[in-house]
Amino acid sequence: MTPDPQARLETRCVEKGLKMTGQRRVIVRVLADAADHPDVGAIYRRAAAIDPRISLATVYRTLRLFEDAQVVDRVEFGDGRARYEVAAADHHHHLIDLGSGVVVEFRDAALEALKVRIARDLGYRLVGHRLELYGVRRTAPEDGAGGDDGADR
Amino acid sequence: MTDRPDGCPDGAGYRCRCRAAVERCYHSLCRHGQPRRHALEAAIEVYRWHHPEMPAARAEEIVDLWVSREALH
Repeated sequence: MTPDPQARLETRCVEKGLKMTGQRRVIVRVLADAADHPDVGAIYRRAAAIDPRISLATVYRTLRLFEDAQVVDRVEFGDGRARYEVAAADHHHHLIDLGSGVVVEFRDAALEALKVRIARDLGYRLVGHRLELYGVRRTAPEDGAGGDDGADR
Repeated sequence: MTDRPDGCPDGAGYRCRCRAAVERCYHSLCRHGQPRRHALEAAIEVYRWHHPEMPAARAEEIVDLWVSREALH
């Protein structure tokens, strides 16, 4: 049976080595239940409705901890406010088609392993990264061109 | 600043697809939850592929203007 979103998120926290206190469980519940991208204030209000003893400082600290552990992602939608979402278990990257501007999502397990290995070989534990690929669409072989760059500027 | 209102040296974007590509890239990345700065930098890369002759600082100005103007509408 598939565990509920809160249980899944708690499991991921524990797997990342986080100790699950009562107040952290409340914040996990708020994040797991969120159908939107709440900012810190919204998360605090929702958490305080469940446990009035939770402070805004605790919410800030916990979100920072979750973010560092890559359990949540901080996202911005251009309104100047940081918002949070549960980090996708299926982490993905973007390839950007330079000709058209189309953004293609992709996942690659070998790439994920490579990032961790590079950091480890340099003496680090990977806690974040930024990677975008840029490309131009190859001409299909059946088109007869056989070249790499079929995109016109 | 250029006098040309749209910032595309090929003229109003009719012959050149740069503006549509830039805006598509920027807004797609924002919809994917990428920080605005990251989306802007990617959109600048798209612009500079279309117009490699454009100085980097000017390219950034143009792209910023395009996506900011779009956001106001």
